[in-house]
Amino acid sequence: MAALTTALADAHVVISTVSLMALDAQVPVAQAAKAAGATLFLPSEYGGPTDNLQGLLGAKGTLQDKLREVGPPLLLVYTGPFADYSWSQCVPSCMISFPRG
Amino acid sequence: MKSGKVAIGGDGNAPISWTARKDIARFLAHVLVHSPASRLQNQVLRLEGDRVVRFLLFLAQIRQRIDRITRSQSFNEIFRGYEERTGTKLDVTYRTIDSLRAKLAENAYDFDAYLHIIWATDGLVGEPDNGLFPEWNPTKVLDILAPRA
Repeated sequence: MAALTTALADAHVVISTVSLMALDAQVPVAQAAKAAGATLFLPSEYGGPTDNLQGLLGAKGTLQDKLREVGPPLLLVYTGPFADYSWSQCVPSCMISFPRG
Repeated sequence: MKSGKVAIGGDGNAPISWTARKDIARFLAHVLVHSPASRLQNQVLRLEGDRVVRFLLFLAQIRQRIDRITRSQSFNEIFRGYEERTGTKLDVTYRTIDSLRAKLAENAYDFDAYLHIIWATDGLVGEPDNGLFPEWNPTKVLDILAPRA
């Protein structure tokens, strides 16, 4: 925690872009951000609205309350799916193109 | 898409908000510098990269309805645009929402089914805040998918 706080020492805004697998890691990061004096924290949203969502991505929504408790004020950024990731010619991992011919 | 075969959930007409990552970065860089703290702290930003036209604010209700139809790219609009631009005919499979829900019931971690259900039923971010960065000019889905030479 101390190490995180030191790492965030001069940050005014902390932006998190961690993947779905590491969402919970944002809690200590938010705590450290607050301790370091940051005034804004952006959790890793960048998808559809999650404040009332069920299922796999719902974890992002429930995490928001925890982050509010321990961290700086939140800025939630909803963008819809990534246009570039979804639609570039990334055939193996495109969620839209399958079955692959 | 190169194979010409695509599969999505629902009927393909649901509007979806899409934004490219570099456009998200540019937008955030702009608003974090230019917007007041009151617009950022404990707030929400809704970005919609792909959109067509914006009407004036006081036409709010009519605008919302028209904008909803014209500005967000549904899968069918994207496929049609792709076919027009590239001359490739796509073979689209439409998987019913019920079949996707059944898959999710069987396997709660079926991320593909989960996402396609959301995209087919509730794919918009809400009233966009694009106006916070008037010069944003984000990339359109069709320009990512089938860039004009």
